[in-house]
Amino acid sequence: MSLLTVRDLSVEFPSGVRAVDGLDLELDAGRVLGVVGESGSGKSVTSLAVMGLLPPDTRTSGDIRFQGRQLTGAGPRALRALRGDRMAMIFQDPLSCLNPYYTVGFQIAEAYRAHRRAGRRAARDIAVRMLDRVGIPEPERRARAYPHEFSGGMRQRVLIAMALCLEPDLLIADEPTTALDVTVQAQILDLLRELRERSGTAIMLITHDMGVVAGLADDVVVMHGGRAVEHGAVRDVFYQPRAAYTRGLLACVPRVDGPLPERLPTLRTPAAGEPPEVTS
Amino acid sequence: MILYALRRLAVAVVILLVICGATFAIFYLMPADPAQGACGKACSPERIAQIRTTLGLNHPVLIQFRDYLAGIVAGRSYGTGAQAVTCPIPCLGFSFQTNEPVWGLLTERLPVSVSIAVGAAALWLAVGVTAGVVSALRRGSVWDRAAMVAALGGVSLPVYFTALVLQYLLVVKAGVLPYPQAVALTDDPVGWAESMLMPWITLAMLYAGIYARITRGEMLESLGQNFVRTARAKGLPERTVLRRHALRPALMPIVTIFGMDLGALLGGALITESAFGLPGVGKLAADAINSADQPVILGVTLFAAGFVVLANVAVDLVYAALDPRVRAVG
Amino acid sequence: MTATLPASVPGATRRADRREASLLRRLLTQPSSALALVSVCLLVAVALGAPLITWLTGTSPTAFHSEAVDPALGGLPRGAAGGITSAHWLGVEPGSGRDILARVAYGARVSLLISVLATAISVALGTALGLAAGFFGGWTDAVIGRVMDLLMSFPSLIFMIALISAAPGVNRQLLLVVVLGFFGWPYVGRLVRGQATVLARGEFVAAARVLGASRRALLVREVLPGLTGPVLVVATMSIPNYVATEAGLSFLGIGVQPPTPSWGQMIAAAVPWYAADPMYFLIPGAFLFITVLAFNVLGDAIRDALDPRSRR
Repeated sequence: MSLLTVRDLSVEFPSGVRAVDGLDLELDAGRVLGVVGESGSGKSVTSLAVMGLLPPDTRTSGDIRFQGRQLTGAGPRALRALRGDRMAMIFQDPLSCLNPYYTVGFQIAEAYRAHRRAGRRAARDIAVRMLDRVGIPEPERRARAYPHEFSGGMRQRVLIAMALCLEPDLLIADEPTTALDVTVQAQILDLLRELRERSGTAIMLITHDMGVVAGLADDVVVMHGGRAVEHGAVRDVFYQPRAAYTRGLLACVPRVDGPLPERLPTLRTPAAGEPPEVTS
Repeated sequence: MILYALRRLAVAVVILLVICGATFAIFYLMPADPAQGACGKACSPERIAQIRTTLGLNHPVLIQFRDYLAGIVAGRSYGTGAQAVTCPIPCLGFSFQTNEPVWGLLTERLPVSVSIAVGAAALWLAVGVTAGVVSALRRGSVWDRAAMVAALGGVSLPVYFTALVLQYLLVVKAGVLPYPQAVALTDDPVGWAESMLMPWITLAMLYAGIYARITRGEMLESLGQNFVRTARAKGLPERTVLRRHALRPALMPIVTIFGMDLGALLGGALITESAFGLPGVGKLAADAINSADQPVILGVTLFAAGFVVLANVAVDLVYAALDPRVRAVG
Repeated sequence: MTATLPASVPGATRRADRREASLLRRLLTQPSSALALVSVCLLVAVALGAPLITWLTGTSPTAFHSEAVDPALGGLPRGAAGGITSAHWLGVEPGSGRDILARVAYGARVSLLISVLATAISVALGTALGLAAGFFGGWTDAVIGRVMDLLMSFPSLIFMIALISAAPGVNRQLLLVVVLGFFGWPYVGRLVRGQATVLARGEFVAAARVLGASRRALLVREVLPGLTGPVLVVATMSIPNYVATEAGLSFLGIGVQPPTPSWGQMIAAAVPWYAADPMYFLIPGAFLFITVLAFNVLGDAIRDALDPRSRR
């Protein structure tokens, strides 16, 4: 049964910009769906729409169903109950996503206590256990540290710990590795892969990096101009891309195993609705 | 943390010394002769010469400055023999007008200034911060616009004008309040509050406007922070999101400004006290200026500067205690 | 071969002209800032036209009109609302019978002149020293930065009072200008220093340097134009501050000295009369309030117009 179904989703900002325009996508329990596209393609807005985190003055239409429940039009109370509990989210820039005034242990415990009856001590113990699970050494001591005392990769681990402390059914990861160093990126991807295998949490992985999708996702949606231009299993999309845009995106990924091109191709942003041209 | 506090205190002492030196230089290098001031209008040349000796005005400026500083730390005595007058620690000299020790004048008037400053501060903090937060949460609404217009109006109101308008309306026309007087809180709490109410409102109108504008800006800034989005993504109740994750960071700059403003007012609300005729430190300064009572002017300047500088240190320490990032550096 | 270089100066001028034109248009389209702009223009007109006003009403700010006050009532103005008549449009002072309109108009002159000149001094000092600090960095920056910190942690009002009261015999208005300007420059300096630091490390300055531009040319052509906006804002915001401070000092009796009229001084003179003749303090007070408010609104509006990010 599908965990998340999005049908004909459109999101329009007060400025008149239509960030998402008739999007369909589907994610089954325990699977990893990669959502790729260049910046401005509407992928982050889609994730915020699913979480119900868009600013109140945006206009959203269409259906978002999560575990059979209709999310569009659901009241703030119902959405809040799901957020952080059944569906959680991690973001691109881990430093700015953590509140500098509270210890990381407090911020993880806070997420737990938002949904479960637990005393401060019990919640703190859970926070320490989560820090241990995401591979932070000396979790007992580090739980008392503040975000600025962590490195970029460690902060992202903290955010992952925070997102997973209630074992959600869906984790939305919005560019989880973009702000990190290359070696740290690999560690975080390994961590996500491992956590997914262990807990069976479905992941909606938002990225502009085809390499990240290839390494982690089962299925992929290619977004462009607020629509899905291609949808399918990663293997199919990568080896037999149907949309011209997907071919263009793939052509822009540097390869180690192929011949070295004179220069990397670039995508020329096309007019709305047209497929992009690839120039090299 | 302790090292940080000590370093900040050392800087404060240096600043106080510089202020002391500058103030001293202004008075003792300027054309007006302090001996003439001490003696009054009709005064014989012999008497002036005698006063010059007693006050130590014949010494070089640096020696005079050294004596002045020594007087603050260790006390000093003027004149010699049977006529010697001792001035206890901290000695800021004697008033030319009343011959009372300046330090005594200052401490005697401090309670009025503190009453005015603390009451007004509580009022403007409550009104200004609340208005700013509500404005930020309802940005663009009718409330927001009205509050911001009112805030700008409050910022633009000169306190002595507000003071006269309030006194005219509430005392003369409506008769609901008495003319403000110096009433000790311990003697008559109701009379104290009645006397202080107009000064509080007067000052609060000005500062609440400033605080509402700053709070609104800071709150909007922190509402746009990524960690507020994270807090919502965690499923925290909106109240907790706003209070814990948006308001707390927004209040940090307010802490700084509040400390500075309160420090400045504790050293005497010069214009407000003069406008209401309340005998605080500020009124003392205003009266001393009008009567060219130099030791008192010098003393009040240093006294007020001391509050400002101490407030500076206090603000830095509080900030360090509240912000883990600063704490780590210190 | 100067002709082949991009003609940056004329281009920049045209750009600046366009920006000014659009700034003015923006200020006029918002009702609040348009009203503020009109108020400021009116005030300037009143200040400049003060002699014309007194010529029209046939009086002067210092002339006594004993016929306009009633000695039987302790010198209160004859007639309603503080003695408003066809001869004295805003009434007369109790006691002396001096014309309030004439005094308010000449007071506007004093107030605006002092605050504009003080602003000029603090902007000139602040820009020069802030530029030096931001552009040269190192030692210059450290010294200037320390001086600014020190001046800003001074209890400036009480210090100004001490300074002014210790200097008798000096021209008061000149002293006010110098003292206000001197204590105001660090606020401009801090802003300019910040901007100059960013600009001096900006890529376009680096590019100009690679092209072989001299330091002076860099400063004049590349860094200064980027500063006009922020400096204009801080200058507009400092005028109401100086107007209020001057009036406050005059209220305390250490600002502008009689017989030169000033708003703060008029309000101080009205204190003994406020219960019997409220018009005497309401009129100069209203002028003071409107002036400060108009400049504050204008400063806000200019900031919002120049920096769309701050418009919230």
